[in-house]
Amino acid sequence: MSGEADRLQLALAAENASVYAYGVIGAWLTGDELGWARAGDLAHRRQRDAVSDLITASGGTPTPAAPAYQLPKPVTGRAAAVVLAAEIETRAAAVWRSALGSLTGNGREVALDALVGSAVRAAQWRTAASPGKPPVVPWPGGSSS
Amino acid sequence: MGSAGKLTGVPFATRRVGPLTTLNRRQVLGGLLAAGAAGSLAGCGLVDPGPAVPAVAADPLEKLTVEKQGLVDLYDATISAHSSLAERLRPLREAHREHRDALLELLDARRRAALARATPAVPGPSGSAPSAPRGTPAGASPTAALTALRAAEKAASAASRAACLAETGGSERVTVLGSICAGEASHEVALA
Repeated sequence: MSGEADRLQLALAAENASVYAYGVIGAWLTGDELGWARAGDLAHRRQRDAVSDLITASGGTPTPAAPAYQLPKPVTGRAAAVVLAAEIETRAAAVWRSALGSLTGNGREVALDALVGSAVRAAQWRTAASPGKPPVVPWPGGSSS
Repeated sequence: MGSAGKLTGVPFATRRVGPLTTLNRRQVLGGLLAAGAAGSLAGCGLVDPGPAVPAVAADPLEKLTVEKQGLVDLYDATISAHSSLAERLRPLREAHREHRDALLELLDARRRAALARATPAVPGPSGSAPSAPRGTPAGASPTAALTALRAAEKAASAASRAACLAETGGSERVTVLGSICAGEASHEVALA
C-alpha cells in the first residue's frame, strides 16, 4: 500500500469516527449548537463518501466503518459534547492536512475542502467551549513544517 | 542611502538565506513590490534592465506573500485605530505574520536576492519598519473595522485556496498553502 493510499484510509477512518462522534455529541445539544452538530455530521458523511470514491478510483478498497468507536472521554453533558466536537474536528484537520500534500487534482480539492471545513468547525466549537477566548490556530491540522 | 549599498554587498546568490533572521522581512517585501514595478518598466524598454540577475523564474507565491503582508498591515492599522479590539485581533495578526514568513521561506533564495538587489527603495538594515502601513485603512468604527477584516480574510482564504490547488512545486508548498487557507477561513469565526 502506498503512502498516499494509507493516508486516504486514515482520512476515511477519521471521517467514520467523526460521524459516530457527532451522533453522540448531538444528543446533548440544543438550539444553535445542535444545528452545528447536524451540519458537522452531514459534512463528515459527505467527506466520508468523497474519500471512499478517491480510494476506489485509485484501485483500493475503502475500509468499512467500525460498529462503534472509543471516545477519548465519556460524554455526559453539553460541556463534554462541545469539547469532544472541537477535538474530533482538530483530529480530522490533522489527518486531512497530512493527506493534502501528496494529492493532485480532484483529490487535492477534496482534502483541502475537508481541512478547511474542519478548521472552521474546530474554531466554532472552541469558541463555544471557551467563550471570549479568541480561538486562533495559525496552522490548522499541525505546525508549519 | 547607504543602506541599499549594504544590502547589495551581501552575497545572497551564493548561499541560502536562512530563516530570515538577519534580513528584515519588510526589506524583502519592499523588494518584491519594487521588483514588480521595475520589471514592467524594463519590459517597455524605458529603462536599462542593468546587470543580469540570476535567471530564476518569478514564483506565484511572491504575489501571495505580498498579499499576506497587506493583511498584517491591515491588522496593524485596525489595532492602532481601535484599541478596544487590540486584544482580540493580535493573535490573528500574529497568525498572518507566521503565514507570511512561511511563504517567504518557500521562495528560492536567489529570487529573494534578485528582488532585494533590484530595489533602490529597500529600507535601511536597522530593522526599522516603514512608518506608515501600506494596507487599506481600517474601518471607521469597530463594527466597520471587523466587517472589513472579515472581507479581507475571505478574499485571502480564496486566494490561498486557488494557489494551493494550482501548486506544482511539491508537497511542502501544497501543505503550507492549504494550512494557510484553513487558518484564514477559521479567522472569520474569531471575527464574528
